[in-house]
Amino acid sequence: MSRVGIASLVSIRGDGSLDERELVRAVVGRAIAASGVTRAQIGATVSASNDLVVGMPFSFVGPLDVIGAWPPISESHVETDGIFALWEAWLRLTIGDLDAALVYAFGRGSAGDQGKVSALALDPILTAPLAPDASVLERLQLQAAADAGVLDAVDVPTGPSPPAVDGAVAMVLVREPLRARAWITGFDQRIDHASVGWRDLVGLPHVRAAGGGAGMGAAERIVLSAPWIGQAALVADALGAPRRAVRLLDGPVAPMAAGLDAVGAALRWIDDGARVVGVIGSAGPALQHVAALTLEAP
Amino acid sequence: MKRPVAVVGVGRTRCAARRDDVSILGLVREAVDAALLDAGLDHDDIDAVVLGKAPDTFEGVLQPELMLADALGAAGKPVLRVHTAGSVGGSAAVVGTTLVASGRFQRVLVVAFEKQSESNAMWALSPRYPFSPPALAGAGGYFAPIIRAYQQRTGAPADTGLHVVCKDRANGARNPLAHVREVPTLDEAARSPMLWDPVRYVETCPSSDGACAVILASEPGDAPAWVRGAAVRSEPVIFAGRDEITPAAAFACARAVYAEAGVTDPKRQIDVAELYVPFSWYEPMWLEACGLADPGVGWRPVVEGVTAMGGALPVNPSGGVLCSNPIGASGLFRFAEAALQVRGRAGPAQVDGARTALGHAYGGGSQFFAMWVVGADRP
Amino acid sequence: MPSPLEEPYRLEYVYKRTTGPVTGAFLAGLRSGVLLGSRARDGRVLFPASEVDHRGGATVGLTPVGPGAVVVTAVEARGGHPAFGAAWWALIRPDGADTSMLHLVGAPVRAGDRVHPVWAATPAGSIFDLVWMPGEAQASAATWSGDVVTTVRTPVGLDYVARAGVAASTFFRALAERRVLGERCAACGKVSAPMRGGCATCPDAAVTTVELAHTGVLTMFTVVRFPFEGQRLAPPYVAGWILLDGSDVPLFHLVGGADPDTIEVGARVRAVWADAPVASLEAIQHFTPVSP
Repeated sequence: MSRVGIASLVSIRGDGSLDERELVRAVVGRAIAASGVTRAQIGATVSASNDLVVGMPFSFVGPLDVIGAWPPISESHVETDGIFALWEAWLRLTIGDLDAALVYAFGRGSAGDQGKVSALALDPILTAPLAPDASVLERLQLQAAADAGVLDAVDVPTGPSPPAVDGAVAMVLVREPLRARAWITGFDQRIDHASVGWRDLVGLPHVRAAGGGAGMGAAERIVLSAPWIGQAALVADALGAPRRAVRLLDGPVAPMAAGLDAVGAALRWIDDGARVVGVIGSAGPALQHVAALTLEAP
Repeated sequence: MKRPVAVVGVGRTRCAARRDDVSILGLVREAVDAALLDAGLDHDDIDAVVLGKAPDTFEGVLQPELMLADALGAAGKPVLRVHTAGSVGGSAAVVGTTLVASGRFQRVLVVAFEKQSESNAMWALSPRYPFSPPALAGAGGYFAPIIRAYQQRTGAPADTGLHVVCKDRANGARNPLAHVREVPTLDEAARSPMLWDPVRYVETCPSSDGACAVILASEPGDAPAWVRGAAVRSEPVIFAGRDEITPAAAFACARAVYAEAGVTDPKRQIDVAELYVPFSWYEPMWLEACGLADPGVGWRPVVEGVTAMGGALPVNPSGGVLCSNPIGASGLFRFAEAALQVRGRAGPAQVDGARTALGHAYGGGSQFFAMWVVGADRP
Repeated sequence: MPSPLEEPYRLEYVYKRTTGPVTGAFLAGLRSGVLLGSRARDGRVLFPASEVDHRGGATVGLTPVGPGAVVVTAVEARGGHPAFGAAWWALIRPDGADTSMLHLVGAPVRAGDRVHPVWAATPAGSIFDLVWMPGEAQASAATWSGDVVTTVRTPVGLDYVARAGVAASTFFRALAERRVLGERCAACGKVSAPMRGGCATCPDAAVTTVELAHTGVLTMFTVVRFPFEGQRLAPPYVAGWILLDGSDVPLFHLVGGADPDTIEVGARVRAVWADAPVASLEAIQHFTPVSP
């Protein structure tokens, strides 16, 4: 089976002035140009976004304008973080009948209070009405770790979650013999139980399973798309990695684009000489749904 | 190498305007449990789950795969939530096919649902969002001009759509799971109130609660439906030179799925089709796009009864979207019904001797398409 | 470049949720002052009562738990909780249950603390029927009669700021000045309106802004013959696609002042502007036929 790799990745932040279409336009053309493949070689497109980030149904439809009208494209869309779109595109390429795939993700985090939006992911009858914002679940996760002596009390955040911003990321995946910036050597993703009260918030068995499935043991460094440094420590423990090996994705992130920005950070490590790096992307409250990606230098 | 993929289990819920006997969770589980039972499998046998659903505004639940993780039996497994508007049920099945074809998963559960009664369709699909075009003509306002243009272009008889309604409703009346089960006569249908001229009330789909599940596997089990081809195609909703009546993506999707399935003469080789027909006139239009009728004369097999049960090419023996429309699940219902046909398990909808069947879904402004061809014979 | 057009927007709906038999029983239990769990196939007691167990299977029966409970972990609700005031978010596991639920305690607590439910004076069969307080529970005589709360209404309200993009803001602002702008593609030469910042056919090509006529031709239409909420013209009326002179893609709009029974595809129409200048497509009130 020929390897699948990442040929290019382009990311931008918006200041609120660009709409979904303009955000995606600002990254897709550049990502394709940087990849060395032509639009005609792209056999599949997978996009990621979320309607409730902006409060408008079908917010993924407008950006299709940016991909070109002719010929019609083979396209699908996931309503979650972009790392899961990448996972779908990777699986598609591993079949071996396509040369390249386009993946993009976007989110206009400045459009609303994303911490409040995230509460709608909880049980709609018993939990969402209580309106715990995202930071409540994250603080409970880290407090549970502190209670268990796994983290120090200072690792439990006291401030609010960092605000979300606007952004978009596009990338081109290719199959050998096309050239890649990094090869994907493992990719797995797992979801944890729905109820936060059913989950092992500290041990994170689904992170362990995803990391194992992705063969992340060899990674020198791992970037985590999540807001709190204490979560990086828990993820490191679950992966069996040294805590210093797992870094948080720096800076403010755009909803749904964060996972692909983490991939961008890992690619920069590869560019700087790292051999094997890992990415943990996440969706849902307190790392409920995670993807683990292992990349290797060409 | 693409590994062969088979449908080994199908589960469908009863559809209704409001399923007040179940929660969202219960609705989804009804379909999933039925699919597992049909396949003779347990949740522990499933390796990954694909969930399809239309906008989260319908239920006010963000990324429902998160709160449904246990209802889907998905905890500890990979999950993917797909959203491609009305085509999403079909897109989810195509994604599920990719998962199994990749060789990384033995058995994948594909689920799609909509519980539209938690809110209402008009609001959930088009709340008055600033800077978006005002809803000047309501839900059917987009499609009615296209239908009118199709009539003018083809000279189709004015009652073509009514034939579709009477046929689909007669089929739906035999389907114990269908939402709308009254069968109008052609005269009664013709007296139905005109909403978006030329579309009458009776020619529009209902708003339903419902869920559907299929299990895809690399081993056939007993009574498999082999996925002979699966494809999706998309195009922007507005661009210079776009023909909304014959969208290029609709034709491109059909070409792609037939090429993979080795179908060279769909009129002869497809025994039965489940097409996504939310407004009656889309049956003749999609017959043409799917190569099941010649261009411009898709109305002819409709008025001649070719697409009725007992005709040479039955379309929507289940009653189709005109009888049941849980939006996010409607596409998967089409795909699942096609699979049931070639497995010989379509019950009262069964077309005798069906060996090759087409499942079809579309969404957005006739811009997202998903299709599969399933067969009784291994590819 | 002027800042984009923006407008506050509230996504608001009161969802009508059906509960199903198990969550419905749990809510009825709350209404009666009883905490209900459900038994999983493996013997564990799940709290709150759930129709599904950890592995996707059905649970096999309901059982009362608590009322005494233990805090698994807790953090302060910063700024208080809108319903419960000063409170601590906590994962709470009633005695006899194997799992916990997220709820609120009305006083400072930490992991391992004992808590008990305090019931609302007028319970409604919702998650707001109780709050927790530190300390041991009194023995309770409350019983659940087997009834079920079948429906709950859960309001969702989220505030957003809707912002039009750069191209759309330019397009809408021009409409407020009674000008219709489009974009001409440098590659294919086609003109599109509304402006989208690029050509949908030639994604890599530049576009230049052009001004379009206020007249055009009706390319497709329907006659709306029934009333619905938010309608701007009295039915029957014509709505359809209008190709403005100089443009290559049609705009969807209303055609007022037309006889729905005689108007035909190809009819010439012109824009009728709204009295008040607004930066949206509603600056054009509707189109109207012009005599040839």
